[in-house]
Amino acid sequence: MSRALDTDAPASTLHRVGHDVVPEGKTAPVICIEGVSKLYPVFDNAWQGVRYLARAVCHGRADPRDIAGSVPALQDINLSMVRGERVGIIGRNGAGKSTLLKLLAGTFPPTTGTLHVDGEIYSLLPGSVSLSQELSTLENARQHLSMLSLSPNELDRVITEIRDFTELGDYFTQPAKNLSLGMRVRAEFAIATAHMADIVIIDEVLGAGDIYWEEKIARRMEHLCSCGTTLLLVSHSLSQVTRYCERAIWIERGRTVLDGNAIEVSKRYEGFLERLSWHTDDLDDKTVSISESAADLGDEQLPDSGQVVTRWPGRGDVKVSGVWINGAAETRLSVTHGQPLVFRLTLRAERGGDFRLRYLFTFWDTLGRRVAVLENDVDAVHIEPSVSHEVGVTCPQLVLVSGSYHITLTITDTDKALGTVAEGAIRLDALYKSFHLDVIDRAPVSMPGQRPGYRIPTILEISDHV
Amino acid sequence: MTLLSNFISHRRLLLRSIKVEIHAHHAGTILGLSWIVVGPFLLLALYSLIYAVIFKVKMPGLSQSEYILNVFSGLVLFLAFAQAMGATTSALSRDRKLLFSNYPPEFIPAKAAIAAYLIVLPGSAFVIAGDVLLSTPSWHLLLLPVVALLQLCFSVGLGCLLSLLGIVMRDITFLIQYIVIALMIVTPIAYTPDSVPARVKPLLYLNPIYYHVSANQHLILLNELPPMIEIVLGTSISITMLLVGIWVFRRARVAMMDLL
Repeated sequence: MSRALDTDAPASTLHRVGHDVVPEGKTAPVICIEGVSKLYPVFDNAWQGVRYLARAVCHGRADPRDIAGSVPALQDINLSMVRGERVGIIGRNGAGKSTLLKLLAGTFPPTTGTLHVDGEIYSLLPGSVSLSQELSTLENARQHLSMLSLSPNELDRVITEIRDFTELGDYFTQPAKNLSLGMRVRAEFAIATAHMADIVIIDEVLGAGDIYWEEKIARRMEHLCSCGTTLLLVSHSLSQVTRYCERAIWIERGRTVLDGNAIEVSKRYEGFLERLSWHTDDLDDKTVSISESAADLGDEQLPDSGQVVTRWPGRGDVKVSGVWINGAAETRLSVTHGQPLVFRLTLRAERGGDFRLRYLFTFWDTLGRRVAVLENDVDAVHIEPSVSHEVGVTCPQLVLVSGSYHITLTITDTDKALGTVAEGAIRLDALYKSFHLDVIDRAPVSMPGQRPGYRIPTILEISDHV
Repeated sequence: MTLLSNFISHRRLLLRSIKVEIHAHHAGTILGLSWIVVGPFLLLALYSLIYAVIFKVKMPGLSQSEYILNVFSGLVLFLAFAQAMGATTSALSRDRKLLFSNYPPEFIPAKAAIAAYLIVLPGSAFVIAGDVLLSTPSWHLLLLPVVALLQLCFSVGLGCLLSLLGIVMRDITFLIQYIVIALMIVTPIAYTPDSVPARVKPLLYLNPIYYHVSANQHLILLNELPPMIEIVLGTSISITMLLVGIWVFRRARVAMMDLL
């Protein structure tokens, strides 16, 4: 099931915070995981635990299968990372993400396979910094940092830096039990990230906080990442993964499903989650899994225009069978800001009939943020069975500013749209982030730090005589 | 020697983490680190009050003050031992987070045991002061650190084993309290080895703590070296326990994380 995706998206489409992707093979890997499996023992009673421990002492190895039942957490994982590479690990709860990080973090041997780490690892796992209630943040910081080899000068500098970052004021020297939850999270994060090593592994610790702190934490992360450290990040937030990592690995039930470009992998993962939610309400339901039928991960070729697109589940009464953008049957094209954007779609309906359709074009930036949605009112069509029905959709003036965008095309049934909020009832078909648009600004106005978005020039009327 | 290599190459880290352990242990208390001095003082004062003033215990061949000194010499080491046992049984679950780092795992029970032994310093100071005031001190007092160090070795070794047991059998955290009380009774602290019937006397040698307590009593009260057999047995038991404890602990490492 494991396969590699082509990292065909050029580096420019990635949100860069540091240097470029280090091409594989150029440097020796700093992390090398080969055929690693991890089984967790499941004991029926305490004596099995004692026997398990005793066997480990006698034989020098621990295999749960010798003693008790076992649960596979990881199966045959291979991963190689070069220095400076930043890799995100995504997957559902219980997929084995945290186990993988723990294996790398410390004295936690895999059941089979080999793990090689070249360099000092610093791990930020949940609870790796937990403030002692009775000690102040300052004392907690000193205690935590004393476990690392810092010189007194360095220690003072780091402590000052933590004090500045946390903005705790007088609370910095108050016992941790007096801090609010938000303050505590900040303090723990600041202490945990005060020191960095060659290789940093982070497990879901970048949460909580209001927008101000979210941004502050994000900036600290970007700073750490740009220091050239090798990063391994586990997160449920795909936008974090695409923001900090250029490569992502999707793990499902202890196995690697995909390993490749972060944007591509998270797109497939999103698609998988979408399929799951189409079938079940519980996204952690392990009985629903990547079956053989979904081995293509939603990749399909459009019969009329020929591109390979990512199809999300829909009711399927009406399906898109061809897409041309500005006349081209491509998945990637360049368009100039202000120029028209013309879509030609062909639709097929298995049983034919009259439909009242709405076409939605959703534009996403490369960080996975939704930038704009273009939609029509209602298109009343009659589609003959098994005959392609052609529709032209024109956006007279493209208002997106220069940047890279993904487009999702969704077709909904407006008859059902009244009286229901369930997307499942109204969505007929969806091609998820299947088209890639590079927008070039015709007259680029130099705007430092301009982010993807849109600019509507006609909305302001300027007159010289008031 | 490879068993102890971390203790040599990472000794600074060990020292720092012992400091952290001691600070964390006393954090939030009014007396703070003073407890290290106040604790042994209270205990010794209490024992002298009960045995010498209230019960007026008489041991053949010992004056009242010598008897108190005898109790003191045994009690200080035993108290440290008891606290070390309690601290090591729960050490691994307490310091779980350290296992997900580069921290040498055997330091976790080791630092818990060593931190508990800090009370030996003020405790011994009281005992030596008592020796000077109540009896006749001699050069033998210079050997007290050796005895304390040997018992510490024993405690670290045993602590490694107990910390492992603590994660597979939580019962040990309850059991250890009763074992310590039982050990306290069978160790000649409140009585002298001479007062033990001759038939039972060889059984004393089965108690590993006996050697250290007896050595202390010889050095402080009797101003002489303990019998050669006790020196040899006591030293080898302590060193063996240290090495076995660390060896087992290091071997168990592969299974440890699955059990926490």
